[in-house]
Amino acid sequence: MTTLLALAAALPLYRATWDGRAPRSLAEAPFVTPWNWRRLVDRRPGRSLRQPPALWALHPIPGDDPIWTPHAHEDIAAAARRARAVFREAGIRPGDVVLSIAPEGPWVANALPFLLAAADSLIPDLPPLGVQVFPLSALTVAFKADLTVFPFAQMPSVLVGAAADIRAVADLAQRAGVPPLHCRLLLLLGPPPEAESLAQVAETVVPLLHLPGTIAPFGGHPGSAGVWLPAAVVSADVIPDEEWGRALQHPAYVPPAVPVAAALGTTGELVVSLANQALPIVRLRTQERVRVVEVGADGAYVVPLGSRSVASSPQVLRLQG
Amino acid sequence: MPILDPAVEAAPPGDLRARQEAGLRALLPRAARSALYRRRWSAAGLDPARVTTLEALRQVPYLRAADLREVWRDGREAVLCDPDVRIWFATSGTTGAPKWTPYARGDLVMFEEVTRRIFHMMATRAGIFRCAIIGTPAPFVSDAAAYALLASHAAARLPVEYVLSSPTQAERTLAFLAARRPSVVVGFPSLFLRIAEGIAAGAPAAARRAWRDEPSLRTLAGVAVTRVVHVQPRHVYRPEIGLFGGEPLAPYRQPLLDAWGLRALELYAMTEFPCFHVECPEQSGIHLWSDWLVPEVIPLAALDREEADGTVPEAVHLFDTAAGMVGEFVYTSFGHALPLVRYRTGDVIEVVALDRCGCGRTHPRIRVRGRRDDLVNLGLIRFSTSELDTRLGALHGIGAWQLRIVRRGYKPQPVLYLVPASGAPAALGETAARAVADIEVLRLGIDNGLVLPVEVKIVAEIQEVRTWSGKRRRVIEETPT
Repeated sequence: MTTLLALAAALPLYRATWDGRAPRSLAEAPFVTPWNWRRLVDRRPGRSLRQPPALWALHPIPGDDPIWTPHAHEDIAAAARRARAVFREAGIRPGDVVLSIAPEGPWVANALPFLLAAADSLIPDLPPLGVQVFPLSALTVAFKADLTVFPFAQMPSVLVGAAADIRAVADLAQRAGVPPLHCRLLLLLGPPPEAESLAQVAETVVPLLHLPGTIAPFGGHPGSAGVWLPAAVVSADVIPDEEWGRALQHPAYVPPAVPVAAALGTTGELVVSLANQALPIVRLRTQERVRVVEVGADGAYVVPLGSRSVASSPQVLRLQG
Repeated sequence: MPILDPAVEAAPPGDLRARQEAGLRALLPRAARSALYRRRWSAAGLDPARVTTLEALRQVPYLRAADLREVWRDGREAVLCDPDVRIWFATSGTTGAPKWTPYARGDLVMFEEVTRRIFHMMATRAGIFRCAIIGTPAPFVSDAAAYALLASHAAARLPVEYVLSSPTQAERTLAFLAARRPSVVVGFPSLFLRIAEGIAAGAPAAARRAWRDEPSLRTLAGVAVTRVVHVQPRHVYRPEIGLFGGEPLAPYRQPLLDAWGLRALELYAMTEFPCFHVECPEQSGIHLWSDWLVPEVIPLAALDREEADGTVPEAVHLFDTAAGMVGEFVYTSFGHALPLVRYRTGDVIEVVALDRCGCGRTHPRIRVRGRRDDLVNLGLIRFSTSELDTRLGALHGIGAWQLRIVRRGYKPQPVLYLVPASGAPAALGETAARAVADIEVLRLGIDNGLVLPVEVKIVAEIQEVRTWSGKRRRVIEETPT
């Protein structure tokens, strides 16, 4: 990760955040908040880049405004390769019929159906996933409930989406007279809802988590306790809940973050670093609340718990003094 | 930029015909295995192996949208011509239930290749091709198109930069694009004009907000400028090209130039076949990629005869028509998952030119004039005439009605002419206006400023418009073409 710091050192986002003093290690690097990101990247995107991006995508930040994230050609190809591995690991099998429910808005999660269906355009050296994908979105189904009729009738074996969107689409489908869904596998984006409502939808639930800076999600496997964050891809820390509370009481206080490897059992806000080619991400506060449930030498499992209910951007500014 | 594949894109028409015939020889036996064609062709006594020429193709029965909706009752496997299906997209279902279309790997490869053709067509100067796409969410193909572009262009390492967004995040996207000015914008023309109205109305407040957030000379100048200048998108974004689809561009072309200062090019695409046909920067019609389909046209006169007495109309190969001919577009696609053989699109096209274009391409050029079917077409907002008839039929006191679609500026406005029956209530006009505006999709268009509110005119007599065969038309589009 010292390479990551070296890559980042010349970029205005980090020069501004680091006050001109390059940290010696990742643990020393100050946090970048979504507010910093919007101020320095979204407003002056041309000055923030390490490599020309092929894509700018919106990434939703729980409880806050979304941020624009750049992705270079290499980042996209790497994401396609990783997505394939994540979907396989999550339990998707050749022949599966996948119903993918997109969130409302043009978020990076909208790339999921294409990654499922056609990632081999970007990684021709690997065999395809071999699945058929039916994409839907809660927004379009709200206007045209009969869009659900055909894909539901194909009896999808896999369902992908966030609990709220799946519930909204299922309710609309029911009103359109479509029988309820029951799948082998649910790839659940974001935090799980009440357990009983999931049991009706799928036999097995595997969590997925989108992190800023990558168009492919991170995921678990059937039977895993959470989402696998491989250390080779993402350097993850957690700001424990109790530290966050202290920061609210004392605005000048900068909460410490604990590397996930040392945070077993901890619940808190996820902080991530990624060696992206377009714009490396160093210690970005994701505002995703997670619990670290398993750690190993090569990564950790975390359970997404939803939004870290932080203050809005101007309040964050005041907190930072 | 040079043409991506001159041997195909600039091939003489004879070569394109030969290519189409070679395609047919492979296509028909493959398509015959599908339940979509098997029974229909068998009933017509057609031997698919003998359909080896464009002339022979004329014996093949037409395929209609309703056939594509109904065929799936036989089960997916019985219908698909290629088992390697990857993804499905749906039409919006304006004229009935949505039609879902399978895309096999081969279709996606073609989709990706066509996006590379378009890149070479649009990237008229060196440097980064920076493109902002305001698409529609799944399950519509425009949502996936963005990612197909990305896959294709990223795989080829083309110098592209896409900003992907949707109407739900238009404001946020525009703020970002002010700093990352796109050279190309892609979307629906009416939507981009609606966005332009929003920019013009919101510019002073946005400038004040920018000054409050970040006081500087630049933001202060912004506040001053918006006080004296009626800010238009062309002052802020300055894209060179706009690629617009989903509705005919003609009514919007000049307003787009005025508001955005861009060169508006038309895109014609259908969910049923993932091939995007586009106008080149010569702006002399949409190039129909005639290596991936066999284009035919049913002349208007033949369509009218069909309406009058049910005669099955004859289609003419588009290469054998003359510039100016207008009719329904019929095509045979060389698709993989579900090739369409003589598919009647319902779209009315005009043949613009058949000779070599100034860009060097030889693929024929067309314009889309509108729809032929039972549709009230207000651009993005469409609904069936039968829905309108049902609403009006439920009211008492209407002797006759006619709907004329007029344009006020670039926006469509439905004008309903009513002849009251005897004993009609005094408030018939208001009741009818409410009944029409209650059509959900129309209300959505009116609420979002894409369509002007319905105007009702009570008249003593309807000024009838008839086809040459005498059929009365109840929905008349007065849109200038």
